[in-house]
Amino acid sequence: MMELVFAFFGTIFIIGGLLSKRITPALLLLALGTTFVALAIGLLVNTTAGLLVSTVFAGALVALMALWLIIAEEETTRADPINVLSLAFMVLLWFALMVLIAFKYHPTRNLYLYIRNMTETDLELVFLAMLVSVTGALYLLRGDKHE
Amino acid sequence: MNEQLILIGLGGVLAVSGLCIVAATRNLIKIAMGMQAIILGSLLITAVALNSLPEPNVDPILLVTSVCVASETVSLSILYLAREKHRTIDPQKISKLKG
Repeated sequence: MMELVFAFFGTIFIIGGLLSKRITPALLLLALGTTFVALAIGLLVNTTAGLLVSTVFAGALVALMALWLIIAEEETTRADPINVLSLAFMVLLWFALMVLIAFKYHPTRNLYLYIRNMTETDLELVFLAMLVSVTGALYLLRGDKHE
Repeated sequence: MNEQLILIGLGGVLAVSGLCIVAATRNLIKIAMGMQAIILGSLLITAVALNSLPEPNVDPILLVTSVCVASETVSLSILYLAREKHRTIDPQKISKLKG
């Protein structure tokens, strides 16, 4: 079940990155989606395969980012603090959720936090946080229209 | 619905969206990203196929991943050379085949 969730969110992030008109958020979304898909592959086949896909594609993405910095076309950089903050919080939130699920998930019992089991209220709050992060992603994707 | 079927569908969506971006964009960086999406989708489908085997085997995933990233590195080098020669990363401006 978890590999399905990882693959689903990875697909969403990668498609979001492909649809983004600005390259920097697109590359970051692609990196996030690649990590999710690599986790799904790791759960499906083996941890080694997942780690290899994740690290190798992370290296390729770093090369792509470096190349983008080298050959960047002339364009006006839009220094918007809200934009940058939304991007940072979105990436941090998803990585935190991924780490929580990866280290605490077990098929036979509920998600166990440090002091108690996860309840419905916690799940609702996680859903709210995911909604906020997706809203941030929408803001990122539509950022070009204000220029 | 079967879980494996959904995973294969997600891999197909990734591959098709990457293909659409490769066909539609005017930026070579986006083309490289689209190729990565295609590779990831096919890797996901391969992982589902390997998972259904009686004894899951990792070797094909390792081999395919290594080859894909090596080819992507070559494509990035070509991209850089194209930029150096033509001073643009718009494939339609670079293409000499249109006449």
